[in-house]
Amino acid sequence: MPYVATMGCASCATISIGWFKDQTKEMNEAFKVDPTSFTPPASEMSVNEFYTNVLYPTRQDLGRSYDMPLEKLMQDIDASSLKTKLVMCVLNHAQYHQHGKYWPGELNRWGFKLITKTKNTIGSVNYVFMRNPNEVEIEDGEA
Amino acid sequence: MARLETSGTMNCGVLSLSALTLSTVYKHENEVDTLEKFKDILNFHGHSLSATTENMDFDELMKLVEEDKVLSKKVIISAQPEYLVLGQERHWHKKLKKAGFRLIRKAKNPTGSTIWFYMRIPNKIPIFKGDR
Repeated sequence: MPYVATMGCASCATISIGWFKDQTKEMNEAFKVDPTSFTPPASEMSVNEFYTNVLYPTRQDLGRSYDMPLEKLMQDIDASSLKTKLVMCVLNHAQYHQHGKYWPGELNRWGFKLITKTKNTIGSVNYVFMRNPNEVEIEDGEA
Repeated sequence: MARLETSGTMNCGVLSLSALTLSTVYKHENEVDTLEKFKDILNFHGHSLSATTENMDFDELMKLVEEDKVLSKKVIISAQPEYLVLGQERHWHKKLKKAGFRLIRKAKNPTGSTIWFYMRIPNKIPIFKGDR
């Protein structure tokens, strides 16, 4: 299931989301209907704990939250200090096309945009999405 | 100095370039001392484990990446909050550009500081209308 994670040591500025599995579509849809259908694990970090324990300290260790439905993850992000951060995620070819492009549709709904496509080392296509709620215009001469 | 890190859950597809400073920074708990060990972690049964190389000279690191058959094909991101590179912006912009990175987004973070988001995409392919 998806979770939020640090994105390298730019962790204070940017974060990433994974992990889009075929079977988690049903969990995501079930959560939309009934939020109590998902029970958070007690021993791992929530989105808020991830922010407080991993992102906020200046040491910037790598870390992640627990797995949860994308719907809950994005709700928790929007209810936390992570709301304004730049977030990236990557779908591989199979994840992108599953169930009539279910995951791209869900990402678009939460404000993600497809910014680039790339072939990975084994020749498969990766789709790179980004959500940048506090975008600043790139000025002439900066690019 | 710089180091190459796994990038969240996108380990197999996207890496992250970090710690662009003129001086050595702290040792990382997930640090490995060779690119080979770093690649071993990347290739570990498809699991997304966290790892970082040790800090090394930026030009040396990028030369090693360029010479490596696997790493040279991967997307690498470099997101620099301005307070980390204060006074060194032009220096790092030039270095990143020379290494094939392009500035693709800028963002304000919650403290009002600007983040410069660079990407190096060696195997870029076109986005078609139906992809969006």
